[in-house]
Amino acid sequence: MSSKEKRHSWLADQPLQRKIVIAIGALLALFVAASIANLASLWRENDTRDWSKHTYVVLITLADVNDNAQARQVAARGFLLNQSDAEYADFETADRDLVKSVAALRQLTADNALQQSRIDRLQIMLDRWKDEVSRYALEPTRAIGNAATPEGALARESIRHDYLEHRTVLMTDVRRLIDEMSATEHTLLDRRNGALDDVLTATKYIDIFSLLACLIFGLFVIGMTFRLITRPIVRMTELMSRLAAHDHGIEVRQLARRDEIGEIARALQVFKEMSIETAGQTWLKSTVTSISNKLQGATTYRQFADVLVTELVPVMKAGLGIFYLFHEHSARLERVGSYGFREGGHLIPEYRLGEGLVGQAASERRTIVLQDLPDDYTRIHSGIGEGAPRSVVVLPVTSRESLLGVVEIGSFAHLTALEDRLLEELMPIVALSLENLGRAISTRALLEQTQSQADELRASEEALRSQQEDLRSTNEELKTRTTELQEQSHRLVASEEELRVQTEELHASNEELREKSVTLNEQKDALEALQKDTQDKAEELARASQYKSEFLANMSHELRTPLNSLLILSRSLADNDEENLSGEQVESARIIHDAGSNLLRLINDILDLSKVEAGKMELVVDTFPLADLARTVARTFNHVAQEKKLAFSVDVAPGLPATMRTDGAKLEQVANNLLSNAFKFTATGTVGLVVSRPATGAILPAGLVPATTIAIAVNDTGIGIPADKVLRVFHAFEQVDASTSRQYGGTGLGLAISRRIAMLLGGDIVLASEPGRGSTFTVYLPEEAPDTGRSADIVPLQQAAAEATLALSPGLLTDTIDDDRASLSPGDTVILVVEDDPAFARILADMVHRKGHRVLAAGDGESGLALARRYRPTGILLDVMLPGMDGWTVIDRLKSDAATRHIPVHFISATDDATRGLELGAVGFLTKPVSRESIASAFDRMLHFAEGRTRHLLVVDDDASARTAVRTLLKDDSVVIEEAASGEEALAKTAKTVFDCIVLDLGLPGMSGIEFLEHLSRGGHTPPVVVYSGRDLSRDESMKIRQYTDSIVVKGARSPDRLLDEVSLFLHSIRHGGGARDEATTAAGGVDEASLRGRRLLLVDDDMRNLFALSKVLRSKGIDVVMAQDGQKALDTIDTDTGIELVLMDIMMPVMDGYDTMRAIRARPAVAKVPIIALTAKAMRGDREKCLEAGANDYLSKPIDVDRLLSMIRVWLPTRS
Amino acid sequence: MDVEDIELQLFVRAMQLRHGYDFSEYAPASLKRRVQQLVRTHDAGSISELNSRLLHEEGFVTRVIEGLSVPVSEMFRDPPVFRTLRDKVFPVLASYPEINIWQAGCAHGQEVYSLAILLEEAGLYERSRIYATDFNDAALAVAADGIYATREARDWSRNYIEAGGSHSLSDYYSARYDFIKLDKRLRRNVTFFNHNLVTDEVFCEAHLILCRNVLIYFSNTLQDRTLGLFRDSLVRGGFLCLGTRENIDFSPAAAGFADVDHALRIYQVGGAGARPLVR
Repeated sequence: MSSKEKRHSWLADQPLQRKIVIAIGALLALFVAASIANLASLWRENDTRDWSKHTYVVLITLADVNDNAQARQVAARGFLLNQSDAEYADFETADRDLVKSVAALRQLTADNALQQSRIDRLQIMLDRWKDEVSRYALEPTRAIGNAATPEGALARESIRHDYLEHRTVLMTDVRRLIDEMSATEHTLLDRRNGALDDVLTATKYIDIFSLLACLIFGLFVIGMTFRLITRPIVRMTELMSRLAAHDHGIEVRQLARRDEIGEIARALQVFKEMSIETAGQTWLKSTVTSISNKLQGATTYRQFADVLVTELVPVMKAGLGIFYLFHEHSARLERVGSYGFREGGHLIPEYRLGEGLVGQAASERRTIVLQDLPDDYTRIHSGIGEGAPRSVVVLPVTSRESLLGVVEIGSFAHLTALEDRLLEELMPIVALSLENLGRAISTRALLEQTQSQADELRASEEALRSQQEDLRSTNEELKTRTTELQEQSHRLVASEEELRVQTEELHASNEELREKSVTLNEQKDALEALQKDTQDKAEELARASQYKSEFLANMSHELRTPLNSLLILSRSLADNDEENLSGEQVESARIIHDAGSNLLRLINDILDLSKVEAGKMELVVDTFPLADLARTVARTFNHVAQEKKLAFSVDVAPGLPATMRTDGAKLEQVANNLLSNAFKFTATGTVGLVVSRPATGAILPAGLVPATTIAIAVNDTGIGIPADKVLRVFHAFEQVDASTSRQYGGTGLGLAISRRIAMLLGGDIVLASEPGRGSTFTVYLPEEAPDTGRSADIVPLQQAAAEATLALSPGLLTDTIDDDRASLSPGDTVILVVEDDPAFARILADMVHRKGHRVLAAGDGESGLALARRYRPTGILLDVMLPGMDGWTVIDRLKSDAATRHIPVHFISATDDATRGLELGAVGFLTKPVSRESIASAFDRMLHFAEGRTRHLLVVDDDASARTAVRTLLKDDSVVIEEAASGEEALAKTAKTVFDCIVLDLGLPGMSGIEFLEHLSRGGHTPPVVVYSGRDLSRDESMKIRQYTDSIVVKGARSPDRLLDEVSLFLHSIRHGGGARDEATTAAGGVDEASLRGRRLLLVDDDMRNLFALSKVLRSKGIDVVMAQDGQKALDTIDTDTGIELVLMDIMMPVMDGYDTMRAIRARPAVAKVPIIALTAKAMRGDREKCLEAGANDYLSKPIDVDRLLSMIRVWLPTRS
Repeated sequence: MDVEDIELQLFVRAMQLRHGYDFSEYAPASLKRRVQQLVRTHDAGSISELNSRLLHEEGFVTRVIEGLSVPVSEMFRDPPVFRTLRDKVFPVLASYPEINIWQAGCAHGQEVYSLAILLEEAGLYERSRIYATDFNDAALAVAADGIYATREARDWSRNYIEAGGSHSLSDYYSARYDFIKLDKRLRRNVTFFNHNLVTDEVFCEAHLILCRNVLIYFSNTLQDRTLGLFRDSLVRGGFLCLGTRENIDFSPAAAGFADVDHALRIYQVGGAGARPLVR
């Protein structure tokens, strides 16, 4: 190789540039030489060719000379023959040509001496021939003239002879000379042509030679270039590619060359080394990274060890690897992972520090490398064989000098430097990972522990949560009980103490007593006699009182009955319907009516009292929520308190049971009574009602235990009651003094009744009072009222009486009035009046007659029942208090008999238990005294529910199939369903028939549903309407509809059910389409007032129910109510409607609430002064202030008290201008 | 009666007299627990110290109210309840031209939004109006924001599916950082109001009232009052939905209600009309 390099050394060492110059220069020189040779031969060839050409010209000129000589000879002969001048001219001409041609020849052959001499000879010969011819032939001939003459012929003959004699030159000689000259020239030509041929041949050889020379040298240059430049470069390129492809096995040659190739080779060598270095580094790094990555994935030590050895050993090209983990607590190295390791042999799974090489490396924290191991050191196994490793490396894994583990690797090969470095770099990372793993494992252990604890916690929390609620309630219960128990025990301890003291005292006094007893015994006898006397008298008194009460009870009832008639009649007189009474008479009638009313109130009180005293008061003991009491009294008396400017509070103390078992109605009566008294006798200060347990130490009525007693205390800061009168206030007909009665009014029966009721309920009323400071009435009641013992006594008695009188024939009973039973015909509307007061019965009968109906009358329950069964009247007016069977029993019997069940029953009674009446199935209940109007409405009501049990229903829908669907849905034997396809048709039908209910679709042809409703309501009596809409309604639309009905059903999946519900409600319920409520409110409202009539008021509320209820009440007062459903609409209205004089503003509204709306109103200059009354459901402290701040002038809490609202409106309405 | 009970009574009294909040009818045991909690939260040595701050410190009452109200809920809590609302109650509500829903004690509003989502999916939301009330202004503000911690919201998707939701709960919120924010559109028909069941009155005509896990904190008397309010507010045939641990069985108000689903505490007002709102 080196010798070869040497061989190339000079040329090869030349720089590339020079190499190229040498090659191309040589080629150029060769080319120039060849060209010169070629040019030279070309030049010679041309020269030779010129000479040949010259020879040809000479030859031609020679021929010319010959020709011209011939021509002269011919011309001469011709002349001689015919002596023509023409011939002679020809001769002359030819001679001139000849001279010319000879001259040319002479010029041409100037270079040839031989030819020149010949020309000279020729010239001479030619000149002589001419001379001889001219002189001897021609001239003479011309001189003879005509030759035709014989002289001429002789002359010519002589001339010919003369010529022939004188002739010295022959033409043949001339020709011969010319031929000689031609021959010489031809010889010359031949020689010259030969020379040309030589030249051409020489040129050919030169060309061939130079071509060959160039070819050979060119090939040589190519060969050299290829060898010296191209091939090494190609080889380098190839090497570079291989290097680029990470072939580190390449061998770079020509390193010693000093040319560019050598430089490239040297650079390549550097690259190669760099690349090998980089690859090593990369391998190192990637191996380290990959191993460390995999290590990081390990979650256990074993996994870590496995990953480490299985990754590391193949990389090291080793066959055996073991990882020992160092346990710090035991200072032992444990084998946790291995590679290619076969269990058994002398390898032990655990090392102590310093034990074996493993222990040694560990304790020294130093890598131990053993090379050239003996064959029996250990074996590396594989399926096909086994062998001894050549080297073993034991590496400690340490982190900051603390030992974590040891790695041992056995390999057939020795460690390379790279592998060495790998281990070096890897170990810290292994250590770090191992450390991290250790931390992760301990963290995980902690986490697992925490998690399991958390799970446990969660589970127990869950359990706790469910138990908590139970516990809470039990706890509470327990707590209250404990408190109660504690209280009881406290009290027990106290009373025990008391008892002990008393016993002591008793002992002392016992002695004294014994002494006195003797004296007493004597007195006793006397006393006994007296006592007997007194007892008799007391019994007599009690009996008298009982008689009195019974008398009063009966008497009151008896009084009430005629009063009833008296009131109705006097009222009807006062109304002066027939207008035949004078003003004075009307006034008298009114006075009679008023006096009668007062009398009635008194009688009612007396009746109550007497009922109690006579033991006829019935108790309905039921669960009664204490909160109800608080709520009721608060509602009833709040406005009284406000009117009288008294503070009023109702408190229910904590710790009380929510309910008690008592007669709620009676209890409320008592509370109302006490409170109205308190308000009556209090001018300034406070009135309060407190429901609590009895105060400790309070003296309780007999039989009551504090723990189960409810104390309802009514306190006031009124005039109070002097101590000596305290007892008397509970006596019937007694007030503190007679003047009080005049000052404060009242019958003085209230307290007496209240106390009796309290006693009836198992408790009592206790009074504490200080004149001038106020009084406290405390009602003590047991939580559980004694069972209805007393009333229970009464009921069976009454029933017994009823049974007893059942046997009696109707005729025998009280004097009944005449009725129409004799003249009834089918189809008559018959009303049965069951009333024991003939006067009232007669009034009723009259009214029935006046209505155009027939009447049946019965004076007692039994006959009433019998008549009902026999005649099946259209309706029954029933009294409760009847001789014999009472009204309750009668209705009960009627309703339990299928034949009479459907007959509507209306109570008209002096009793006021409307609820019981309605519960028993009555359609209405009127309490005597009654007005004629109310009787009339009772008739209507009854007849409405009667009418042969047939209900009339009108279905208004333009779609026939929809009507059919509704008809099918609502089909019932007792319902007559009529249909109308348009509003107009429906109106026509309502004019003819009174419908119980109308089902209305809104989308109608012609008159729209809403217009239909308007028309309908204008007609006065509006039957309840259920709007059955096929589409959703906007808020505005539903608000419009709500003016007429609150039953709107939008068609949908469940709407048939609802439609059925709504319609049935109207068809079968006592409630007449919400009419009952309306009547109540209208009744409460009374007639319209001049001060309010025509006043325009804006009512803003999103609660439509409230909106319409309030507007109805206000309209009944003649107020012009404009409604708005939300804040924005209110603003729109107030902007456009300038007549608004006052605004009633709800607070809790969506989108724009009442506060914002009020602020917006106040911000409008035009309406900033309009009074606003805020209506709010909020009753918190501060709500009022918030309303006022937002711009309200006043404030009213919901539920709205109409009276208070009206007075507020009166206050705030601007005075009419 | 131990000192703490006296202090508690004084606390109740102070709340009533000074700030007008009536806690006298709250179930005493749970009230006591929460007041004790308040003592700890505010680092007060005793309830009395709390009382003193309550009386003198401006604005302290709002923090007390926050501590006393229990705004713990989740979306679609008790999924079967919502499922039943969707399957049994909504079809009936659909027959009313407009649907007013009173969510009493809405706390942080999770159930309000749950309801809105269900209504939206039932196609009823456009004509619905939800009145969400609570007596805790701070809770109302949270409810109006509709932002909840993702951590809380994790179970809600499952609840939603169990409640019969037809999309994915994530369609209704956007999550960012550790919070989810419910779609603003869900709030378009919701009105948040401060309303105190203890003192305040009926303010709307409701077709459905949800009052879940509120009554357990009330005494029987207060429960009766509250049920009375609901009774007055509900339309004929309206629905009442209580917490699954609450019932009206022993309340006088029970008379007016019929079971829709007894176990899930969903009731319907019987045929007879409500009490008059106007006297």
